[in-house]
Amino acid sequence: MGELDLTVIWVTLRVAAAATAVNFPLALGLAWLMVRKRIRGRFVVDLLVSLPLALPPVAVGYFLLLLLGRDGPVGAAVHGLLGLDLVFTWVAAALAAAVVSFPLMARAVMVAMEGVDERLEASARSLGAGPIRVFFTITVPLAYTGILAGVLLGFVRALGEFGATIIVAGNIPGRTQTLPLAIFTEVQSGDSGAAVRLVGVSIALAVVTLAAHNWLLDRSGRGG
Amino acid sequence: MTVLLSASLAACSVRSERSEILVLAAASLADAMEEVERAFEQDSDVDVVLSYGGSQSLAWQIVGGARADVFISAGGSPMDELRAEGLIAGEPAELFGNALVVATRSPDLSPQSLAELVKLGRARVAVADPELAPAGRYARQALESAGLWQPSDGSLVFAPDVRAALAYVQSGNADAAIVYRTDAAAVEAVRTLNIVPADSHDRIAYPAAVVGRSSNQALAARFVEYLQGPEAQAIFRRHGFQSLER
Repeated sequence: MGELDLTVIWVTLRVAAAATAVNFPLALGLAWLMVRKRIRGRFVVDLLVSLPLALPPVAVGYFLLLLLGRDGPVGAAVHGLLGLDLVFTWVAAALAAAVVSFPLMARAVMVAMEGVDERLEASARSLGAGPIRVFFTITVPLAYTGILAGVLLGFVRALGEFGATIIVAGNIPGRTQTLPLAIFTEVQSGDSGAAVRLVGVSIALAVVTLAAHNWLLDRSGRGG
Repeated sequence: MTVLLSASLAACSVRSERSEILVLAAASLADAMEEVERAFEQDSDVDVVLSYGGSQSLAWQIVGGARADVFISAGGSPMDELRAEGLIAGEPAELFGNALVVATRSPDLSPQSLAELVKLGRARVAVADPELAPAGRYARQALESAGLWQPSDGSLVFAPDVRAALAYVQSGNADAAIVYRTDAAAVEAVRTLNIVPADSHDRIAYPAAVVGRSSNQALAARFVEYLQGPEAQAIFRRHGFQSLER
């Protein structure tokens, strides 16, 4: 497949960023419900959230294919409303990456919120702050380090997602082919040189991501 | 910004004028298919979109309701399964064939037959898992017809696909692998032994067919036709696949 194509990096980053952007508010909201609201059926919710970790990604991908396909409930609704197909698009790749990486992000955020001293939140409330204000000015800043770690875990997992993605988004160069899918294709078609180059790019992305994470941590350390 | 926007809008409108077909192709064909795509698009106004995967997973996608127009399988069984489910339109066309060879890295391994290879006893032979990959099914047939299929005695190692079987040889974890000739040829530093009789297993064919639920049957049929034509066949031959006798 010749030399390195920059679109594969762009597709990978776009998919992982979209997955992370979708997951982040969900993970924050869910963690708050689980940790602070102590909702009923916590165990069941916990189990559902963690399931994509336990299932092979290929199974998740097949389930998503049935859900998002034109005959599936979500796919049929989207097709009816917008006339668009989700399967074989980068949106499907982002959804696959989101489902598979969500448990990692949500778990880390939950642990981070557990660690916040409830008395600090209580005193903010006693001074008249509403629950939303308490959440954003007390809980989130205090849990910042752990939340950031969760975002990092989720993003990096999304960068490397393969099994669910190739089923539901296909492996279309220039559209849905992310780095892991490109590596698979090069290996299968016998171009080990190209595969090694792509692995190098994957490592570089991981290094940059980790460096960005550390920079954000340092900055918060100096600022706080 | 405006320039960018209008450029992308222009790109969109051009795309919508061109008709598009989605082709699901076995990943081992990626290099050849890329060339075929370019050649086909040159003399038609059709946009061919290729998506690659293992033949079995591609068949899964079609069973799962994915909208695709053409399916090209490495090996006949995924295609047969789809036909049995009524998901293929018309008859699949066999595009080309392949052969099984023994690939090895060790210089002192020169068996004259599969029996000699397996009976050396010390040799560990990698094959693709027959449940997962057509290549493994053919390898099992070849070993079975020589009375050598004894997966429990430890001389056979199963790999998830034919590339992985070859990787076991490259990394020195297996002494030999039974793989497609095209796979062995693509890898350096591996010797190819032609000791698998072609009549010891089903004919290895790569069928292509129009997917039954394709909304673009006519274009899809045209592409399948093109795959059998002289231009596409020349490309496949250049990539090591053998033309089938018709």
